Amino acid sequence: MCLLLFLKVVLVEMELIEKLEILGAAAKFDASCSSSGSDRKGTFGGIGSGHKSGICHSWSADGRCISLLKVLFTNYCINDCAYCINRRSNDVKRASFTVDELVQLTMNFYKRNYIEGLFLSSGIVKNADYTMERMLLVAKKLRTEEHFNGYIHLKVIPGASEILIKEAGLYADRVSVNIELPSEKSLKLLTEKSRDSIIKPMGEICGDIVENREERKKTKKLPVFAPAGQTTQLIVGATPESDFKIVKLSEAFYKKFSMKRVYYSAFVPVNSDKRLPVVSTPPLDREHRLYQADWLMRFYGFKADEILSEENPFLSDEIDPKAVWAMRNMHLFPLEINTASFEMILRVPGIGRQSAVRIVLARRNGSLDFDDLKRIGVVLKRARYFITCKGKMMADTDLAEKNIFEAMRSTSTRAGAPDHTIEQLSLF
Amino acid sequence: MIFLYDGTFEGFLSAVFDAFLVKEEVEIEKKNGFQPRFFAETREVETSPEKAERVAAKILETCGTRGFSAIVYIFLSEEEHCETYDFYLIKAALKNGKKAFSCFQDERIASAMMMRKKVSREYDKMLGLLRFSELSNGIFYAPFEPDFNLMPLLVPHFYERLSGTRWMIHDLKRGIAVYHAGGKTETVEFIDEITSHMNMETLLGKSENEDSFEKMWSNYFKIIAIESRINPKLQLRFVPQRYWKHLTERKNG
Repeated sequence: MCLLLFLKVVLVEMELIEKLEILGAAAKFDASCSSSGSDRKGTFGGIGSGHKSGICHSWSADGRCISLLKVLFTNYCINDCAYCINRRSNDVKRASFTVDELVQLTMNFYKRNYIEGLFLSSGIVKNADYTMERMLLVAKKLRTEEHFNGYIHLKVIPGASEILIKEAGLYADRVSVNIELPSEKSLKLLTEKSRDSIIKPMGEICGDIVENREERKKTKKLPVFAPAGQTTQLIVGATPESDFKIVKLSEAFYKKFSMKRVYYSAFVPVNSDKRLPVVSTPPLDREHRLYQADWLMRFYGFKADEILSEENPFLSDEIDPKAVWAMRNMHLFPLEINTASFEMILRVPGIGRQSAVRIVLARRNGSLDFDDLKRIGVVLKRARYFITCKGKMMADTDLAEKNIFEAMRSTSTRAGAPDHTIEQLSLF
Repeated sequence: MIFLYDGTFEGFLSAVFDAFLVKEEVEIEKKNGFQPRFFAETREVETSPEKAERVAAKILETCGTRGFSAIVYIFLSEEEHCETYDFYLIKAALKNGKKAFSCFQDERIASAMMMRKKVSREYDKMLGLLRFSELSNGIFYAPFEPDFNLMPLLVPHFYERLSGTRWMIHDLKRGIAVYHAGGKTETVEFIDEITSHMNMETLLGKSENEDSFEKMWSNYFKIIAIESRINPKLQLRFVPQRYWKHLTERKNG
């Protein structure tokens, strides 16, 4: 009897750990794991609270932040998208959580401070609405029965009806629909989703957020609809679109749908499929440059057209887009740090947003020289070619083009990227 | 002149109060572990809640909560001379207002703000890296050994967040712990110095379900990485090895 009971307990545990293994691994290609944008308050006796800028709880072996318990509800799927590991024609182990299992996992992980909350996505079973309804059950139970105030990110299944999207926004901090690929043509080639079924819910979410904001002006007590807004993701390098096309697309998302973020996911080949390109490693450097370009648009006041153009549609391998822009616009430099506008200081390579803010604040105490800039955190190795302090350039700054190019190149590499100089040397 | 205080924040603010009444250059140091120096006059400060309160109110009034928190962070850094730098910053801030905090032209203020930044960086990290495990008595217990004294910063965060559980956060390095139950927190009184540095988990044992959750989380941590993107250098930059000891997913290799 006792032994039997023990066996049963072990079996149940095995099952959940295995499910988590299958459904966690099945969700890992989603790039987003952010828990930012929501400052949901904790309640007395409840569990959880939001943190405006998000919290990373661990970093996995690929160096990506783990903030949320990112899982699929199920990896059974009626679709057969070429790039997706969970497509129906793949022979992979399948599993599904129950609502209770997911709720208990989330609560128990959260209490141990493993996670900020839950990021729930799913393969599509039966149809979009059926799938979406089951995901909503988890979010609803967490909020209403467990009094969970941690972060919930819900993926919206393309084709789900508007009423379900409305409900999702009431429980979730963030909702997202993946655009998946940068053009309609590519979507048609590689997926069974139509562009409309993706764009439509994005528009609805955007409309719901605006509507909710207006209504909350009248009735403060109304719950906030998706306080952390909506995001999307696209795969880079599976289809032939240029960086210019991608950057323009992102710009449109930020403008039209007030997206909080667009995520770029370097194409990782998991299926062999004639429609997909053959690549040996995911294009991580390209993904990195796209994120830099994205940052320039969101935090540095750049327009897509300033970064790339029809004639010049790809980001440089060697040099980051901010430095490329600056070198192309040398006529705007050097900038006098003590008088230049905040907007222009932001555009100097080697000066990040935080340093720019500090420069403007520090100037009120008196003029700045290069030692002060160093203390502020400016990377002078980069910035020195573009600035003056009290009318003077930094000592020994040689403005020869090849100098500037080399200084920019040597400071433009991705963290942890393979060191090419070593590789080159070993050839001889 | 060197002002010696009892090591508490209240004591430090009392020292600031007294130091303001002195014309000459003042350094502030902890009484405990003070090494007497030649030709340096010392003065012991009596900790006074009223004086501390007045200084705190004055700082808040002129510098706002951001400024006040910078002063607190610098104090919590426990770095060499942090109190003297902090005092220097308070003086500058009371004279020039909020803009004193961005006076990077002043080397001492820049150093003080660097201390603030280091504390803030570890605090942000620890918000995520602190790990609770359920003990056999049902308490969620989080041992840690931070570089800086983060306890006063972490407690309010988890007070709001884990209101529904009984928990204890324990700084094993400094031998201080805070316990929470039913909306109240209290500082734990240990029987002796040795116990205050002991890991309660080894003492009391884990709850029945604890191993299963730890196993699931550690396994999840492994499988969530994308093989073709493995980048240990980047991973190590985010979580230096000294934090692994209490990290559920790292402590078993």
